[in-house]
Amino acid sequence: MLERAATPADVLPALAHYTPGVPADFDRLYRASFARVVRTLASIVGSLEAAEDCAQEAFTRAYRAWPNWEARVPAEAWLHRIAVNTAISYRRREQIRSLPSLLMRLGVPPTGPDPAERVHTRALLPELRRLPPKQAAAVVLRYYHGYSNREIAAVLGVSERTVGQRISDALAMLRSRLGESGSF
Amino acid sequence: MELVDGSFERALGRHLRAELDALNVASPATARPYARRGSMRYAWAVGRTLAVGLAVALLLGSVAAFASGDPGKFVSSAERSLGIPPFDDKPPIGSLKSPSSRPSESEGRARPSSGSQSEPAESPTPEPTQRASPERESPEASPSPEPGHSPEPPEHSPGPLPGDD
Repeated sequence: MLERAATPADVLPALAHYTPGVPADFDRLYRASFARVVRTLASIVGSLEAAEDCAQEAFTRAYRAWPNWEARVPAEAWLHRIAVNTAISYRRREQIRSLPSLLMRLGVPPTGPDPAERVHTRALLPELRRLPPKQAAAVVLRYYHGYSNREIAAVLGVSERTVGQRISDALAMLRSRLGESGSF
Repeated sequence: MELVDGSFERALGRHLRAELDALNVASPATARPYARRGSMRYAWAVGRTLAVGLAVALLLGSVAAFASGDPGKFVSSAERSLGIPPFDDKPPIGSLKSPSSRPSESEGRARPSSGSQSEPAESPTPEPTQRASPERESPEASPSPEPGHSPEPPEHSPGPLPGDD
């Protein structure tokens, strides 16, 4: 039996009241959710600077679409959806941009990370960045924002089963890279 | 799901919260940067599209001219469409300098003479009167010229030659 993707209105409580198309309300939404959106995107794109750029781009897109926002959908969930899509596009563009340097590195023996860098960088975010962006988004919505699979499905516009599969695949990959114990 | 509520998931959530909360996210600007950025992006997108279109048009035009072997065909059709006289009416490029330089030289030479011809028409009184008046005064002063003196040729009288100055 095919699962129907739950709509955000079914599962997510409305955190605040906004009126579509009203700039002052978008300003409120922007101030309330900017940091959360940036942190979500940082786990997908890997760096804070890139996350802030993506967040600005996401808010730009959202501002243009703000008059068409349907008030029955929670605004932050709608915003997260735009932000995740923006981050996915960013990752694609970055992959295309890095293709020439990747080709240049072909045949050169792989070098490990710089030990100094290894000390200073955090363990989990670089690993999340190596995941497919849709899996990384599901992981951060689940384990950072605390959404359930149903809520994530509503935010991302996919079925719960798809969300469960993405999280399961992401966890398997993270376990193989970070170790079973979770002492990373 | 088999991994739910495991120790790995708990550690993952803990580390994720710690690392993401440790990020020093700047507070959102109050000047609505999203609106400004949108307009800049729009201007940049339009400018980029125009530049790319122009470059493609130039490239295609040069390729078409090179392939046809007759660039003048495209140039003349473009000239006709713009209302400029066609290229064929003009002298060929190789012989453009000599005929054009000659008329320009002849024009340069003819210009003072024509100017001297036209100058009296524009200002007929000053120069002929200034120069002619002493000459005329003398005949008037001595109405009967000497028989040995021939009168000055009449063509000198209306105006000076260019070399006179």
